[in-house]
Amino acid sequence: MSGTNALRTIIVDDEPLARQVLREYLAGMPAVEVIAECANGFEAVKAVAEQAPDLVLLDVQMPKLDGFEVVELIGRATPVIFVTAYDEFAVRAFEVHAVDYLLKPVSAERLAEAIARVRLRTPGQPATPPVAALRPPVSERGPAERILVRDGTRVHVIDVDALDYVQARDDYVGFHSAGQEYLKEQPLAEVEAELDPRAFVRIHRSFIVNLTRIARVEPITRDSRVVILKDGRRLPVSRSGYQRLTALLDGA
Amino acid sequence: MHPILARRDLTIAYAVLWLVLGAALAWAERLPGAAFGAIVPLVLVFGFICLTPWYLCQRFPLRAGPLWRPPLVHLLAALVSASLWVLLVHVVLALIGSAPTGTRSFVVLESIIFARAVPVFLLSSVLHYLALAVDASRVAETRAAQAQSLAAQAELRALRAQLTPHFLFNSLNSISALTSADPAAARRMCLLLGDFLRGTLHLSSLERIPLGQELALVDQFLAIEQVRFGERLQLTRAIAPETLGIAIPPLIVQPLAENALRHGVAQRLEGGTVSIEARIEGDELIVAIENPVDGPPKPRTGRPAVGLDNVRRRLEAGYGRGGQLRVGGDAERFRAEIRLPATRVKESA
Repeated sequence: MSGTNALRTIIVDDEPLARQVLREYLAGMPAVEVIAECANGFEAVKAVAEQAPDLVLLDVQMPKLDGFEVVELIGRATPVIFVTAYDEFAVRAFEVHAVDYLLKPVSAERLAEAIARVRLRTPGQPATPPVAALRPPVSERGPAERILVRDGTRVHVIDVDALDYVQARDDYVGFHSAGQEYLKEQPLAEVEAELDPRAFVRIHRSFIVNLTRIARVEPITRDSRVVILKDGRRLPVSRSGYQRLTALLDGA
Repeated sequence: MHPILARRDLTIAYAVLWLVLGAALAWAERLPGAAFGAIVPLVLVFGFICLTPWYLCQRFPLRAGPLWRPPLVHLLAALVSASLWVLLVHVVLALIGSAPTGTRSFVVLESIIFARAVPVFLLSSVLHYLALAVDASRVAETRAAQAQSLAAQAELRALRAQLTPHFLFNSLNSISALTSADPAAARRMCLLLGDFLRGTLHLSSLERIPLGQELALVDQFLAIEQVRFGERLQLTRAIAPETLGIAIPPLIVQPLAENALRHGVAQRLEGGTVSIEARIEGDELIVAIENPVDGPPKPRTGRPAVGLDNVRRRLEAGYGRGGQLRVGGDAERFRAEIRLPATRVKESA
């Protein structure tokens, strides 16, 4: 059913039969074209980046990268319909402005309704608000355990334990881990809010450091200091940053 | 420590009882003043000697060893302790110089108290065996009640786990996919699901089932999951035939299989192989399930595995220390192993 106005769709589910039933339903609908099928979140992020689909049908429970993490990585422009056996994610799905939320087993009628909803959307309208607004507050989710960074079609997964420090770079932040830097478009304050406040401390307007990486703190002048990391790297410490650092170390 | 001595109020009550007995004895024998005053505390001493069967009862339980041994041991103990006590009485009475006059009455008195001490000691032995038996049956009752309530919980949990979103809805979605593409496979899946659910309901109402039945249920569960996972789920089995008739609590292996899928295979992009193993080692049955994992387990991220915890508690309740769940593994494999006494299912059952 391809055509100039066809809705170019990607199906993402780790179960082959779950993809099959969606493919079969979509084949019976006018002007919908399945351009890719993905068996996991990584493939999905890559396919979305390469093919810029009009719609993603997305499972929630998948290995490594779940549906919500995929949404975080592919950003706001792509309309998403969640397809899952779990009804407890519905609220969160609408918080990330999913177009619809279908429960397995899925009926063709319900899927057609969801597709109609996608078509009603005015083209070019941003599907979702900025990423910050769609994440539930840290107090509800607990601190992040890993950082996801998209690099073109690839996804880097950085364990927070492997994170050395985070550096603000204009509109981006750089996540430093094992000698590599990964750039992500996100304000530093948001990163700070996501990280465990017992393990990470903001030592400067532009730097958050992993406490376990600090070797020592040295004064430079009367009012300024540097943190020296175990790998020898030096990071600036502001006066308020030093207060936060000592408060954390004393409390520990 | 003896339970009477462990509690101050019981100790005092017991001592008072023997003081009264001692006074009664002295009065009955019409002992003169000084001897009367001496014999009462001496009887009290014998009262505490009569607590020693408690240790003998535990050392020589009636159920173990030859039948003649416990009575013989207690008889010997009674003779020895009564002799020693009579000797003590003799010495004390001689020291305070209030021995009954004339060798004959001395011998008579001591024969009388010896003849009474021996049966009293033996009576104490019998009472101790009775008390221990009552105690043991009470413990067994508590354990049985505990096992029953845990089994009931397991039944509920098994039903909930298998009937809620995760398993049932996904299975129905698979069937829905198969109806048009492969109707025969859809029918097979319906039958598997039906058999599995019926098996879960039926087996969970029994107290013990042969391992073979449990493994058949596990096979149905895995067959259903294999339809869903496709090539991502591979299985290997190493089941020793002599294990199939061993009695186990129902639904105790199935949670391990579920755990292996949910936390192992389902979390890996490429899936992996789940292996099931059952064998007998010495007089123990060992059932183990292994699955691949990605990296070492992270305690802070992993939710407590409720299923495994329940298996552990049920084994404990059913077998005491004889039943164990051991979990372990490394960065690549996770292994959960059940060990329990290998007893065969009764043929009549």
